Amino acid sequence: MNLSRIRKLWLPGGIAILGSFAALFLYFKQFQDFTSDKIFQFTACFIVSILVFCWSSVVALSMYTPVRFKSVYAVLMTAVLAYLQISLLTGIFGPMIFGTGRNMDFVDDNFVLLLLISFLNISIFSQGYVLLGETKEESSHKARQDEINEMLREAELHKLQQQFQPHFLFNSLNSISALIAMRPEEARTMVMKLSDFLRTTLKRGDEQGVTFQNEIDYLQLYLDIEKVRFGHRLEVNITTTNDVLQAKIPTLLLQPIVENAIKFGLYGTTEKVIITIDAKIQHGTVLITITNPFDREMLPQAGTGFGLNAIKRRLYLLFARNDLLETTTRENTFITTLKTPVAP
Amino acid sequence: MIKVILIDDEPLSRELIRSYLNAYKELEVVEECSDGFEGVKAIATHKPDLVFLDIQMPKINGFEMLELIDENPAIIFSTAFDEYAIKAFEKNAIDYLLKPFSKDRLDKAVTKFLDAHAKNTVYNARPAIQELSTSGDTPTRIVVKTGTKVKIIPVHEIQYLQSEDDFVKIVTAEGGYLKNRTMQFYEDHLDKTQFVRVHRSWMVHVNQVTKIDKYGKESHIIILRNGTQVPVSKQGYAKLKEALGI
Repeated sequence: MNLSRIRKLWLPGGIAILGSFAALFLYFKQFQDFTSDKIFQFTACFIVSILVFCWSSVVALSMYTPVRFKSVYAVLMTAVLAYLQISLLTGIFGPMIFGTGRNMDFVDDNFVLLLLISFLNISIFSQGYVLLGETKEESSHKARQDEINEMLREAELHKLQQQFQPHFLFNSLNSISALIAMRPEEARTMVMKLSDFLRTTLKRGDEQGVTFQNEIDYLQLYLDIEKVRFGHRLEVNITTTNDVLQAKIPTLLLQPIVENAIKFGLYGTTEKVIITIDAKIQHGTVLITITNPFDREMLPQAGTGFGLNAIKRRLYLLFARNDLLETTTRENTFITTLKTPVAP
Repeated sequence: MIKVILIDDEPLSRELIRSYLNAYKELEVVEECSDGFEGVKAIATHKPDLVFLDIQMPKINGFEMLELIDENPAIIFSTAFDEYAIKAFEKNAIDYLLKPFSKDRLDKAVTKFLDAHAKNTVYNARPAIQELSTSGDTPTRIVVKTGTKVKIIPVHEIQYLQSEDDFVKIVTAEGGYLKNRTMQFYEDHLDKTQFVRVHRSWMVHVNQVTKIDKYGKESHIIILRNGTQVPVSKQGYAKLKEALGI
């Protein structure tokens, strides 16, 4: 159902109303006393009658919506209203215009024709009215639905952004607990880094785009914590260009990918883990490539997952594209590529 | 001396437990391991009385490691897992420590262990671990041990499973591996669209089936890609037909 269907109805509706007006006008014109001042009266009466009956037919038809025999009821109702309209026109308005005592044979002679004209008028008008109502209802429903979808999208984005691993938090706290007795200074540093990291995570949850430099700084906090947790098994090499550092990208994308790479790398091997991050701008797109070692023999453990699905979902919600995050493997290297359009 | 092994991928976490354990003169930490493979080896070598075990670890997780050991040491889990996940094996492990944990909390766990050790109570963590390590989703891999080597089998590489006494033989293109589980367990836990139990002691991967022949009046026989002939029971035939969509 759409507006174009309503628009299509105006033409036949208008033709029917004008047609019936013309027919009645021509009919009345035969009488000698149908003088020019009567034309105005006739027109007024015609319009009033049309309005009254169309309105009543609309009320009747739109209120009465049985599930079965709908069309039969509609036709019957329209026929009855048409009959009433013609009766009113000829029985009340006719005498009003032409005075009483006139021979009204023409009504009897042409009753069927008049009835048909009126029937068409009413049915087209009422159908148009119902259609218009439905379309209005539909468009307001659609507006509400759009609003709901937008709210859902935002809520989901927010939730996805806010996600940080409780695992990470509790393990870090455990490391701090260990450091307090052994190396208090390091424990303090760790508390500061963890606080900074959590504060940024909470703040970033409300931001949309930040510069790549901001994301790198945030990542560095995370990496420092991980280095304390896993000793010196972790090495991260970051290569960037100046323009990419200033480019705006969606917030909290880089860190989860690197977290994933670390998990993958660390949990798949006990040797030193070297993770590389390479970022550049290519054809107006920020292109970030992250590599981490992995052992082909070590399949992902069920449950640890590869938290990349959440990132894919976020990218889809932001850009409506599913091809922005890709993963491949080359020998013993796992490669994750992230593309994001440069935000203005 | 009571022998203790610490298995955790985070060095600081091990250091913490070790420092807490210094107060117990009767406990001796004989080895520290940073992953499940090392854990399996260390447990076989030292035959410890008590193991502190992390769950999320490199290579294989704590549950998978427990499946691979022949010894039955008392286990205290130390993990950042949520509490509800731990509840499932609360009865079977000596205790579990949620990271970060206090010295008091660890003392409680160790006291529990020492009491049980004095009374010679045997704690068996395995049944609950079977339940927990496979609860919910279908496993994507199965860990087996061949001699001293640990092998990880991706579930999709399994050709068929056959019961052999108290074991199930898991067969891949590379060979067969025995696993101390029941056919029923695998029927319950493997993907039903991929694996069909065609017989009381046989389960096949549907992709491996090349031919189904009639065999006798009621039963059938399957020829697998590698030529293995597998008997099919009447019930099994119905299940197979359903899985193959014929």
